[in-house]
Amino acid sequence: MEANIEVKKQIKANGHVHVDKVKGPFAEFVERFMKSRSAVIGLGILIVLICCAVFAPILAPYNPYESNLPIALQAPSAEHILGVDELGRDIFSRILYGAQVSLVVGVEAVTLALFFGILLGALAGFYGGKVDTAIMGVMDVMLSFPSILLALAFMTVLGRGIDKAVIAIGIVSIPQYARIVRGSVLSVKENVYVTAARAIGNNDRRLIFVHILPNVLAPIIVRSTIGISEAILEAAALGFLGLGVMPPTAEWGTMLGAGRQTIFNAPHIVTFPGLAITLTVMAFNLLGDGLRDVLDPRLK
Amino acid sequence: MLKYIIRKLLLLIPVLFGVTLATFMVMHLFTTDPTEIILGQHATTQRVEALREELGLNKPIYVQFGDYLSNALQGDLGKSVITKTSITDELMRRFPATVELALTAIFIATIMGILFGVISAVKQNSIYDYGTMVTALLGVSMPIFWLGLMMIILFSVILGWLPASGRIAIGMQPETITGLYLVDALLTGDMGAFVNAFEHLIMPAVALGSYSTAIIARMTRATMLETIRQDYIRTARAKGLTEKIVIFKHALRNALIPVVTVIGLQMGALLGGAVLTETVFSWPGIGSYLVEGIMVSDYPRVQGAVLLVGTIFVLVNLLVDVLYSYLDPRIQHM
Repeated sequence: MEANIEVKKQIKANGHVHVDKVKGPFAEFVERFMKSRSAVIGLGILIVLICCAVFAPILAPYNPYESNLPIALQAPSAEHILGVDELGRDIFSRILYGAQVSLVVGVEAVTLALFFGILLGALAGFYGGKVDTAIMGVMDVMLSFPSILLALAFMTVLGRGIDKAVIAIGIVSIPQYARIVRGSVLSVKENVYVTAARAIGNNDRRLIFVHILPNVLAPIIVRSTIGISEAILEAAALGFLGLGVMPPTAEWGTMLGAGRQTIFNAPHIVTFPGLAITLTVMAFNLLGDGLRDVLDPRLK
Repeated sequence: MLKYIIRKLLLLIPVLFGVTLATFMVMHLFTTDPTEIILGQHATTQRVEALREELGLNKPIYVQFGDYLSNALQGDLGKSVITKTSITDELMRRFPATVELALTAIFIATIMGILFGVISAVKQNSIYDYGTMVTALLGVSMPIFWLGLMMIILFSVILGWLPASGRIAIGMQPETITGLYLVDALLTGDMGAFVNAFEHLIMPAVALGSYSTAIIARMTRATMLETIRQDYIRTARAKGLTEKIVIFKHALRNALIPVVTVIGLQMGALLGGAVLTETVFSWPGIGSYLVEGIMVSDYPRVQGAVLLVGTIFVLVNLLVDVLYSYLDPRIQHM
């Protein structure tokens, strides 16, 4: 990693040397982050989305679960700005509540994948040899399937539900993190400071978690941010195919799947949940791209 | 080169074995008892036992796996527990539909992706560049099944230009030669069938290829930007060559090497996307067969379809590796 202390010298017009205040690593990160347009836009959209999710009970004009069959399939109007669905439920309210589900599924699935991915990747990279062959062999087999297909297979055996979608998506994402961590550990563990840490008597666990892993954080953070967007897309796909959350939970993919039946007479039902998914995924993609530029320019 | 391919082919064996084992384990360890699906929950013990024997479920799990593996190697993926038809036959019947869809999608994605990527790089920071990159960002962020639905709303519901589902109008199927309707229609000179098949194919293919188009455009732009700053490009310009020749003959050729890998990887992603696209457009391919199988808990069907897609995925990746080593000979020594 670059030296944390950055000293900027500016020679002013009058010939004096001006030395900027020494910045800490966090201040330096914030400064670079603010300069990245995509990171700022992504974070901005994300903050709005998180507010929608958190304050859904206050912001939603209607109860998202209350059906009103007489007005079913009604197009957007002044009372229902995004219209109502096939059961007469307010789509705007359901989208606000759906933000809770999508964000939680995305973050939880990536957390699960990160936990096992970091552990397996670190073990494979640190110990090498048979441990590496065994772990990465399994990871390679998992990577032999398109991830949505593997998630579908897991959902078939696990059954429906948010927690199960989290597990299925989390498991299929493990290999991606394991690969990145393994690669980074392999390159970091050869550094002299690791040898030095070992020489002063640190055990393997301390070497991995205290000395090596903090130095491979940048690629992990970048990958996880983009990983959340992929997890949200996969969860929506599962919901669309009827394998996601249990009804009547408001989930964007499930809303799309249900609206498909009435696409010819009420196209608004599938339009807005899809826009919400696109916006959320885009926010994480922008943030991820921005973070990559800020944290790890080599990855560009 | 041959040695490299042989080594890669040998490495395929453990991966394909792992793929088969993984699908088998996932399906056998956790799914509901297939006898329950077939006979219902209230069947007599005798009937359940008889069926278990018929399906080979009373044997130890490793024997079941051995049987499955040896049958699979001979091209027999078992029978559907619901329809009792051969899964291999059904997969083979549907296979050309998925291949036609995936190949058309990757074809569109490659042409569009490279074209937009090159324009974006050559006119860096222009309105074209920003437009392309924003569209590409949308392309990677949009769920393809939603894009498919939006296209149906626009082109089928509102404009009425294209059919919303299916592969070809009933009664218009061309004589089967390859199973790919476009090719068969051309070979038999049946232009009516060709046009009809094309009208059915274009929306699903564009929807399926949208994500790949975006990825290929981004990658082409990045590698082109790197390439056009190289010294040999400056030399080519200094020689007085036209900009067109410099870009397409000198720069693009080298910029495309990493793009080939991306295209290959996208081929795999397309197989996953096909599951969703086929469902949206009721396309009679492997993806929709798989999803229908999941809906009715027909596990041998799911297992067979997943195994087939996994195998194709691995083979496509091998092909990409080989192609890549051909384009960039340094790779063989790695």
